Amino acid sequence: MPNIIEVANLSRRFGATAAVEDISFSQTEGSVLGIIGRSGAGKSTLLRCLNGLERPDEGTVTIGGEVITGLPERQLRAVRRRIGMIFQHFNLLSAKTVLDNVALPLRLAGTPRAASRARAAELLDLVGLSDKLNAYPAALSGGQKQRVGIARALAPEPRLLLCDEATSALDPETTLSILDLLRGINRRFGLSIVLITHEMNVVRQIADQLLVLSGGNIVEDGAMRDIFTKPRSAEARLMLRAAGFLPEEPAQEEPYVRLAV
Amino acid sequence: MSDLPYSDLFTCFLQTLQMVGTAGAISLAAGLLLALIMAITGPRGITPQPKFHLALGTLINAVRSVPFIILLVALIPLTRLIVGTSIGTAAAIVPLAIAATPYYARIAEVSLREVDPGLAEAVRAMGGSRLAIIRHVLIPEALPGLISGFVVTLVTLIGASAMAGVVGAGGLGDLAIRYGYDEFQTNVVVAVVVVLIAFVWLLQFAGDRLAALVNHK
Repeated sequence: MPNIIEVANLSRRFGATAAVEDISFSQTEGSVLGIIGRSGAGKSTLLRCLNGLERPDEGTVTIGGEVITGLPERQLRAVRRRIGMIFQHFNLLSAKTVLDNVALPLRLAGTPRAASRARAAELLDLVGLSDKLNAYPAALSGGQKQRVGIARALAPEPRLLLCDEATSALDPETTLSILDLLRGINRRFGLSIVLITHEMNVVRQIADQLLVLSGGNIVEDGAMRDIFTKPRSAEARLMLRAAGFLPEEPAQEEPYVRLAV
Repeated sequence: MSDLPYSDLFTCFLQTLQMVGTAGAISLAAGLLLALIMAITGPRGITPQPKFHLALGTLINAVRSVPFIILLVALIPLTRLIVGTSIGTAAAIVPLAIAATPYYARIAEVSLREVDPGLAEAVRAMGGSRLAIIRHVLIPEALPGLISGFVVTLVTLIGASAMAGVVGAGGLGDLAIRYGYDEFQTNVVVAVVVVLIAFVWLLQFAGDRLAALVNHK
């Protein structure tokens, strides 16, 4: 399988502080990549560099074989149309119905209204919301809103889906159902997924490959199973222990494990 | 007590309606445009332009700080240029519109600024242009506030139109001053006030209903 994403020596600074510093990684097409780190680790900035919402200061981002760094805004918009994105707070338009929210990316790409709505209805059926077409987002639960977000992101048939803390505002049960849905879409359509989160529990459900981010750097990059069983970095061990996946270590080796108490 | 001058009352009401309606329509279009420019060039806007934003904001503040009665007189040359005369109902519309535009621009700008920036980001992420963000996010999401703010502007215009009597524009305010104040006909003043209260109440009622209708939050 070719790589859907190739990132080389990517840096993004805000003033004097580097949000992302010299990051390189790649992702196989059709896989689920989890990017985990605590708040301020640079996850959001990294994710936004992948669809050009952030312009990196250095390095290159290649999506599906096309270098997107340095493209003018107009061409970047065309790239973004082929990359779906979902958000922590769903970001649905409150003034549009569920159906029109999902149809919007197609409308923006120039698809006629009727065809856009027909496709939107199909996608809402796929995510299990065919009875909510004419509801407004305010009438939906958090899990339902994220399902609309997913349907909207899938509308232009993207090859890549970016998930920005997509389950962080949801309760554990709803989180699982959303992750199941994402996993199902990944298997069924071969859609590549990048998922950033601060929760080990989330990546454990869904990721094939895992990047551990700390202070704007990648401190560990490998298969999810390997990192869960044999974490090499202190950051990965710390996060696994905090989430209850690793036993406590004696205090003299890791003086700061008391965090987990 | 004299009888109420019904035909004068009606004529003056129409003059007020003409002044407020026309100046309101102009301030709605021009004010909304200014507000959009201010909102998108602001620090959290979709295309920040700090220097331009500051310059335009200063201009809006400057026009807003001139008392209307002074604006009315100061704008006479401009009015003459646009309308051909500086006297009459049509002539009063120019200063009214110029006073109401920055007023509505500020109110509308607040509503536009309060739209969640995450929504603009979502539309950017799906490949939307700035124009698409304005059309699909900023205006529809801010619409309830834009409507309520426009009603506030209209009510302020009704008040300001009373001063337009200075340039012979007529209107209800002028009627109240000429008959009621100058000729001690209190019943005319009362009648004018009753008409104005009913008019403002109706505007507010209709505006609130419309704002609620388009609010799906």
